[in-house]
Amino acid sequence: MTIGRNAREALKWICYSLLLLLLFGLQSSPALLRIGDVKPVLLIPAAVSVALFENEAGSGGFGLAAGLLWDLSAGKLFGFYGMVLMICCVCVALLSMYFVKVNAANALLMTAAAGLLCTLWNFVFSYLIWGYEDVGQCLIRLLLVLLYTIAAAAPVYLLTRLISTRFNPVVRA
Amino acid sequence: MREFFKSLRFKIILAVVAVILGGMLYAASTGGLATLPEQLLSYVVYPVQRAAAAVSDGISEFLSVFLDARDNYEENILLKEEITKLQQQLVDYEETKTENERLKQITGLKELNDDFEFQPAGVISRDPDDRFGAFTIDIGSLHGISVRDPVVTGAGLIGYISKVGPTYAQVTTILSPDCNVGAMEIRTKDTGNITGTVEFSAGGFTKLELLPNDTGVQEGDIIVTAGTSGLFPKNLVVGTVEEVALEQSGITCYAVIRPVTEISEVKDVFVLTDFLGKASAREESGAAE
Repeated sequence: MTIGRNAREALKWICYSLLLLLLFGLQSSPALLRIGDVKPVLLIPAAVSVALFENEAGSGGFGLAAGLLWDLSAGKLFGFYGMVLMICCVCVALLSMYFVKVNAANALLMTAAAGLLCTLWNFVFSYLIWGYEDVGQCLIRLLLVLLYTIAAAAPVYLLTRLISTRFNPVVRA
Repeated sequence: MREFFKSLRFKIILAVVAVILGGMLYAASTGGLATLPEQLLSYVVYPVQRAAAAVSDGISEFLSVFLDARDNYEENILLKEEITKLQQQLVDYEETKTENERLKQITGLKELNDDFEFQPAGVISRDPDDRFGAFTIDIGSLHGISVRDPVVTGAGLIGYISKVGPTYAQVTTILSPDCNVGAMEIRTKDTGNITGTVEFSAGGFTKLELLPNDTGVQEGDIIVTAGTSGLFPKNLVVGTVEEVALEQSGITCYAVIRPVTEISEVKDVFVLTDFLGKASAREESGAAE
């Protein structure tokens, strides 16, 4: 039995959303995936990976959702990460549509770039402008989180690719 | 690519960015209260956070049997020694308690913490990016808690509510530079201000600043809340002094404080929704305004 195109699209986005909620749960849980005092931000690779396979509008919406979830768990101003992740995802989608091949290496690279932007965004507005002493230590910790996030991007990319391959008639490459 | 920048989609994306910016400005003006979209989203993700926290606790508990075996063994020996000491202290305590009860009956003195009203809460989320130990708890405005309510464990103060949603709340800890609590050392009665620093928070410590430069505060002394602001009740234990040093300015001293609770490990807390002096302090501040 075959299903219609609209139904496939809906099912695909439901799968993406479930994956996002699963990764959000893993990210915000108090102890899971914790190494020392560092945990990965799994919502970044999730948003970037989906953007690699989808168009700019869908990617922007998904990035916005991922960012707002992150805002909620981090207690940030609502939209703080939402806006940055949305812009990142639109850019990633456009790059993957016109310039960049979609593969694991580029997924890690894009995650690193988006993660670095979010890290610097957070560093500037949460630490630097408040004039805390030893803000360098804060940046080091944020960069450790970023490194862990990049390391965790590979399995997230593979899961996203699996969903995309299953539901998209043509997978971007 | 060029077509994209001329397309309707690009304009819609720009409009969304503008709406988010507007929303952020509005959220910033609410003073810690969650906005409507935030509240709606929190209802969706609340079960996910609860489930993740439950799974996380289960796995941590299971793994700790193997990972912490050596530590547990050594701790067990120490605890046995401590139990022996405590049993002796218990005898003294019972005698003191009986004497205390008698005195209370005479003076009609009220139990010190009878005025506390609190809500128990569980930690459901910790932000990987926050180095000051901030966390989210599983109760919110629907449970009667509000911004600035003190957050404690059975041992003492660990922070305050900095943001409230309907079913969750964000806790800023005493490790954060955003935290300012009037505090007092119980032996010398020297007062100061508890606030976090980046340097001390890395080791799980906080700072008692603005002590007099001839302060008699020493290592091992106990720091409690002064209760002068009306935001925190008096005599909540904050921690013990690790070290006392002169500030670079040479005008005041500061003490490095080890919080009474290991903040990064805390799983269950209590939110003090009301206590003696809280309402009057608010009224006074309201009157002042």
